[in-house]
Amino acid sequence: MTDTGKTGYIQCRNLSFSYEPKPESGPVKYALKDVGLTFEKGEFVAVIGRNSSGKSTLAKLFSLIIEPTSGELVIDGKTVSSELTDAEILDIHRKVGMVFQNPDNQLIATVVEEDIAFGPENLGCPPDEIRRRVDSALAAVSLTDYAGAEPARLSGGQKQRVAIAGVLAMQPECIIFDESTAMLDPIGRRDVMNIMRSLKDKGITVINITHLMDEAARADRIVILDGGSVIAEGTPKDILSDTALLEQYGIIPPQCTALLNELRKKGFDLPSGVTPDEVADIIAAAAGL
Amino acid sequence: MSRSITLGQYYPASSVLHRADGRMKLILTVVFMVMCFLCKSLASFALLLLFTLGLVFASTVPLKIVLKSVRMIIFILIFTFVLNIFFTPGTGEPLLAFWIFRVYKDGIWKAFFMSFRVFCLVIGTGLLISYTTSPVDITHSIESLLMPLSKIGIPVHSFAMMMFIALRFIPTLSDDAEKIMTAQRSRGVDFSSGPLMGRIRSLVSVLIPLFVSSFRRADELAVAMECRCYHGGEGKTSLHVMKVRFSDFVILFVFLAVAAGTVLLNGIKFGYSM
Repeated sequence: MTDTGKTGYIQCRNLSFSYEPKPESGPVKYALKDVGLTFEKGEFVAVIGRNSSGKSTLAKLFSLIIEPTSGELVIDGKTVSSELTDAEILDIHRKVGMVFQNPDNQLIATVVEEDIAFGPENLGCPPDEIRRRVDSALAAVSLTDYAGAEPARLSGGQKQRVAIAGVLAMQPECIIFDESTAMLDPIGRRDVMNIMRSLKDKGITVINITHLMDEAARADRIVILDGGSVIAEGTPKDILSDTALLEQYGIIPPQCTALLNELRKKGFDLPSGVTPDEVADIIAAAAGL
Repeated sequence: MSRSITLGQYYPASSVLHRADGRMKLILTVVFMVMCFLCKSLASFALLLLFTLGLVFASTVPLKIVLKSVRMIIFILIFTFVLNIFFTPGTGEPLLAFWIFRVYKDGIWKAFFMSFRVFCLVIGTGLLISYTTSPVDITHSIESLLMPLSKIGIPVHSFAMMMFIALRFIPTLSDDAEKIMTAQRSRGVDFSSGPLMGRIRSLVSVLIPLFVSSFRRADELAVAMECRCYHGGEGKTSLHVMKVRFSDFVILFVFLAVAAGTVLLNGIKFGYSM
């Protein structure tokens, strides 16, 4: 799991993090313990797990908000440590973008396009370059018509798309979504999910940290965290069909997978599937349609 | 959920004054203030009034809205007027005398002039700043004008950023306050009746959660800003470059010309002059 011989875009070896200082005696309470993971360039990975499993800590480590307590974290060939220069830190911030849960707390400006311009402005891009980036980022999240709007008047899903555009304008290589859809309605959630897919198609590494298995099912790979350790990783099909594993770690499978499970209990011999389309095909085939 | 909250009195339009450079408007405000205090004769006050009306016209802000800002200072106007009427020492016979008060002709003129001066001052500065410049533009303009101070170690950018974020969060926090009030009301807190002190005390149950939530927001915003490469004002560029255009200089020239005009008209001693 740890050393596959490949060098990924983000790579951790024995990565541990504790929010508390080392106690005088007794064991250290770790939020993450000896995590070994590799995220390849252009991959779409979902990280799932129940509350306090260490998911968000992982995201904070990847975006350099916190520093590893021990272990190794390599992002695009740079080892994260306190010795990184300001310029190197800035470069990693540019390459690894974050979209947070609450859109209200990550929008800085009072006009959509000015908010999106915030990243490139900080990077010191010339005005015409900023304009180009803002326009293309707006197009990527299909909000071109809202360039002059006030974020306060947009819906949750639209605000979150503005936040994504703000990250895109920095031309990142990887975007981490830290429960970005948790506060959205179904339509906003679907829009954000579609954007994640399109980002992956553009070659951007997408890491989606989520509670929602329907979202996880759409990733290329799933990582399950529990108690600060990696419990399992694999394709959505393998992971989400493993009823025993999911039950053990308090994860509820997507509804369509649950349906297949129930049908299997009734004696139907069905292959496993995780997305609605797949499951529909499986059931249709079984019914001889 | 989010309502339109108009900060200050900004009146969106695209008049000459709206389009003028924010920094220039700040400077023009100073020029206008000086102009108001240069007026000393009836003739120069007439010019000032004409010019102020011209500004209202140029800003395309309806006169009704402009006069609203005067309503807020009506008390100050009356106060200035009364104070000047009674406490201006004059020459010759007083027009009116009772107890310790003596009203002279000079006093009436001066009271009239002073109130008129405040009246023009409020309308003029309001038109140049609050009505025609958005709060965000004001922030940017102040930052740009004060930038030289950063050379002597004053964190101009940080102050401007603080102001900018404060403006940005006013609607968000007012939404928060509303939600908390609803939540507390559902728990039986009464904000609208009872003795005044009790009502004030019940607001504490809104303020404390509001503080907690704004600190949490601040923390998250700081992280989000850092993730978007924010590292202070150093090397930061801007999407909109503020540029002083030729038209801005034309406006400045008009202002200076009118200021000069008032000084010249002070020489005409028709009626009364201070």
